[in-house]
Amino acid sequence: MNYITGGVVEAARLVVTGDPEVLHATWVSLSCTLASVSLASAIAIPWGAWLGLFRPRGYRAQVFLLRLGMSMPTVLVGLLVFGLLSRQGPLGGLDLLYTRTAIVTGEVLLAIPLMASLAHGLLAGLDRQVVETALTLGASRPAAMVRILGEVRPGLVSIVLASFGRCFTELGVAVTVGGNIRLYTRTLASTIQLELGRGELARALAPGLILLAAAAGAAVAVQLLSREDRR
Amino acid sequence: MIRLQGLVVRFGPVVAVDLPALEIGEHERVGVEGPNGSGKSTLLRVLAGLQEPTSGRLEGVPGGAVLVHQRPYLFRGTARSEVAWALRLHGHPVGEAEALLDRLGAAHLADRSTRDLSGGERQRVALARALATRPRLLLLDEPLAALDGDGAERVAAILDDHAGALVYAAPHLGGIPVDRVVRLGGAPPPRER
Repeated sequence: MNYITGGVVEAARLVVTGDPEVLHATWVSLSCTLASVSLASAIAIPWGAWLGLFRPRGYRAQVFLLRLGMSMPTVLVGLLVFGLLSRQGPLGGLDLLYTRTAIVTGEVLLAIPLMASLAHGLLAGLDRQVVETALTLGASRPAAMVRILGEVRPGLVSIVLASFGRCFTELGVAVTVGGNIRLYTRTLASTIQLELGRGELARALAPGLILLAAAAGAAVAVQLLSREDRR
Repeated sequence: MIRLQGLVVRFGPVVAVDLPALEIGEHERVGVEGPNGSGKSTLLRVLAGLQEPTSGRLEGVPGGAVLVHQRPYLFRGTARSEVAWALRLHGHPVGEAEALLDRLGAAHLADRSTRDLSGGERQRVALARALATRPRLLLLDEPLAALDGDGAERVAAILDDHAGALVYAAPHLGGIPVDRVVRLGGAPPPRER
């Protein structure tokens, strides 16, 4: 028990005193996640919403594709991005492998199916009268979609936070295409894996505490936004 | 002139609407009467372009056909923003929102959240929103059902002034003057009144 409590205390000390490696890993995790979730939101939310609202041509195939992508192991996505960015790969000339851009690319590919699937489910479950009201008033389909997205803001916030959680704690992509390079591409999740392998429980727990704080922050944000929305 | 021929709408084995023919003139007011489940709402949805008929032909429906549902959905915001959105969609000045709400006796609701409105208040705002689009064909599904006597009279008077075509559906017509009545649900075919 002392082993664990001692580890937690030491981990808390590392966080509070601002250990440079922990701080840097936090910065990498946060910046990569923010970039990837922003990019993925811009693509996935309109895509999923369009599918849910208007059931366009190829609807079933697209929904299947999204579900497949959502359940794909992250390490496989990492392998795919690795193949694309490695020297012999089609994008090898860009020299992006083992950079934060590579991590963002992988996380975008992870987040898009998740966000689009959830957005599809959210909008497909909406009362048809909402769509019909917008269309009968003369709104174009894109204008109707934008208006309706405003109606489901709390659901969208939950989708963004779910995807934030997935990318922030993601390990497969971060290690495979990020390379886990100290003070460059090392993330919180890859730090945990590395330090555990070395038997350094406290140094593994420190990033864990930050991940836990981020998860709690996300839960509080959802709670507050839901309360605001009910007013 | 809107022409509808041999309209059939089926939902699985259920025939929701079976109407041999219907013509609606550019400025005509048509009442559609029938019991619950007789297909009144489905007919309105077909005319609004929101429901594909299973078979039949529909011609001449103008671009500006607006349906006001029996229990209208209002978007998030205030009554004023709701009407303003409809005005903006059609390139009309958003300042007209206030006047439209006033015509329907709903000026006092302008700054109220649409979530806090009663059934009758929602109906008035939804009608103001529909009129904001200056519809060439106004489709109303039981528009007076949620209104009190005074509100119903005011709405009826405004709809009587409406320049475009109007189709008004209810189980029992009344309140809004119509040129012709179509009966659905096993009743005799369309007749002149």
